[in-house]
Amino acid sequence: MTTEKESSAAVADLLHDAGEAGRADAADQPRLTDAARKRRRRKIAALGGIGVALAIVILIIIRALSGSNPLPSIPSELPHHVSDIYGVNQPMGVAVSPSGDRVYVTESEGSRLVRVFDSSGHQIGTLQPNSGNGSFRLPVYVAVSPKTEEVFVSDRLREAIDVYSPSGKYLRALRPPGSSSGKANPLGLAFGPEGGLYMTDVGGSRQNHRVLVLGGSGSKSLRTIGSRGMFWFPNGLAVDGKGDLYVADSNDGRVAIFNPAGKLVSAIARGVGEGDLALPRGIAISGDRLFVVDTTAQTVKVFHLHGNVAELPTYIGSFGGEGIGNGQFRYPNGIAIGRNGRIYVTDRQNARVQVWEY
Amino acid sequence: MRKSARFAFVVGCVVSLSIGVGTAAADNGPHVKGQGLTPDTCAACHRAHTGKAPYNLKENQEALCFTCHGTTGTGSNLDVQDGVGYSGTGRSGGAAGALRGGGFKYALINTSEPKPVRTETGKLVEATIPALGTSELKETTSAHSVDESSQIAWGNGPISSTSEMGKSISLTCGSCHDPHGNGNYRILRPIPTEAGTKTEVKIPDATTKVYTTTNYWASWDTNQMEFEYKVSEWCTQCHTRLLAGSGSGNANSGDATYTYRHRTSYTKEEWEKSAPPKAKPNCIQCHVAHGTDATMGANASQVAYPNGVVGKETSFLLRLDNRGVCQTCHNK
Repeated sequence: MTTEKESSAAVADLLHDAGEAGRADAADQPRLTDAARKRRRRKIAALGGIGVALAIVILIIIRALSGSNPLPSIPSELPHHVSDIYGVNQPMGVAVSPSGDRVYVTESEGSRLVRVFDSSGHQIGTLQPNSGNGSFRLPVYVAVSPKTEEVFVSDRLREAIDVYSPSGKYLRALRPPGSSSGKANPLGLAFGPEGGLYMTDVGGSRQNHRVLVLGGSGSKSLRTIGSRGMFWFPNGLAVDGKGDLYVADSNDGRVAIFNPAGKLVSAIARGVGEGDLALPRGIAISGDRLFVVDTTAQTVKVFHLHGNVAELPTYIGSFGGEGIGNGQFRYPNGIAIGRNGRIYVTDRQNARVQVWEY
Repeated sequence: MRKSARFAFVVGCVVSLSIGVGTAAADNGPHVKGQGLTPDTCAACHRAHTGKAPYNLKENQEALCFTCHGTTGTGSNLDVQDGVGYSGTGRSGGAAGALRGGGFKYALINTSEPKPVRTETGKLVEATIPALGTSELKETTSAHSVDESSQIAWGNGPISSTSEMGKSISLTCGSCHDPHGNGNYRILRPIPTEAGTKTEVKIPDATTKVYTTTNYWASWDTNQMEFEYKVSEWCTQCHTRLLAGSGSGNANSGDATYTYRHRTSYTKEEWEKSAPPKAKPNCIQCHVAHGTDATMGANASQVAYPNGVVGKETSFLLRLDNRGVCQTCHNK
């Protein structure tokens, strides 16, 4: 049996040989005759065809291995609706565990707790703080630590972030300080690549709305992002692998985009054109895709990220639409994407979580 | 590999993976007055030709309003369903706490523990109805229904010698409030849509807006005292025959249903004589606008609506359990 190390060495040798051959080819390139040009065109066409075939083969292999369609790397395709998860009263936030086997959904009406589902949509448990009845709390957004798999839930009524272990045990409540006085009012939650917990704070007047980055498992404030008055009820957050931050600045109708240093570098704006936003709330990133839940537009808008945070994301299209049918929304709010590319969107007024796939 | 061949290879991969993209209708965000000549926020709530609710609304009005101002309203500090104002209530940034008008599903009124302060002769000096903490929500026992369901506007219409209780109406948020803003206190419509009256009641807006309270007995607003002597006039645009002046408790109104009535009318001249603010016999001294968590005992829970029906909601938007509001003033 060939070991993994031997396989890697063989691949490296092949790549080296191909590189050498390419360089020699370029150095010795002669002037072409007509026949040579025809041969070259045929060769180009043949290689193009090989490219197509190779891509198809790769897609087939990936599909076979993952069991779920992955996000394509080319920004041209929109997902399709596959199923719904019912049993949640006015769902708002949603998050998926790093392994993808657990889906956490906040329920803002009725029992007001977090419902936990398996990847098939079967409820396997609930999360709630140690004390208080259903009226005493209001879970809104949820995020799962990629490192510890602890579950963080913002509670607007209690002005706190409740933390649960991966097994569902209630651990503690975080109450970050407010920007002017008192406590912060946490809303959106997301983890950065360095492990910091990003949260939107809507406590106080608009002048005080901000993004706060917490470290040490959320126990201390690391830094604040956004100047006074920059945000107006910021909701969802997403941080890419490089630390670029995307904030659904909801009432301003935009997605504000920051570089890792916390500098505002671009924004997807409000408007009536294609890709313009209305009331963005939930937001998520997967690969080179940015997904923005536009609540009053009743859609999820999809953008292509170019890899350069200063470059405005390109609008690809949207999915959803207003209604009660399959794949239609009534006030969607939160969004999360599992490792397998499965997209979960809370459909608030239809009391369900919609599942979409590529 | 030649450059052109490499290019063809990449193009082949790209083409094979690409699929046509769909289009999307853009929409707009929260309502804001003063959007200029080409406002882009109209479409947040309205559809010119494909509306699904009155006023060309794209959606049931209650769901639209509660997207920002309800339990799931992450775009406002005013949650009128829970009766909670979060820190920063009002754009000037008020304190967190219980909303002055109560809530439609939950309220934060400590309805069982009024704290009246009296003179030695028993005359009321001041009183407190404490507000509960924001994590102590209690389910409402009565509330104005804003779900467009059919209900009776008790007392609507002129004095009648026959049993005319009031007309049937349906209410939603916009029945009382103008979502586009109108310069009035709490963006109250000068004439509620279901009132059927023609005389406007305008209460100028307060410069400093205070939406929360720690004392539900203090129904007045020190930032807009005009509210205090005009509010009954405003409420009784719908509840017409409940507007009653001094002495109405002993004077037959001539109405078959609303015959003897507690005073609710309070004029500006009377108000000016009695300032500074204290309890006034107006509508909101005893009732909240949105909903209450007051509970009723054996007798109070059997009080019927004017049509004789004993309903589930016998707390009638009162600020205290049973008839605590009567006792606080009258001390019997």
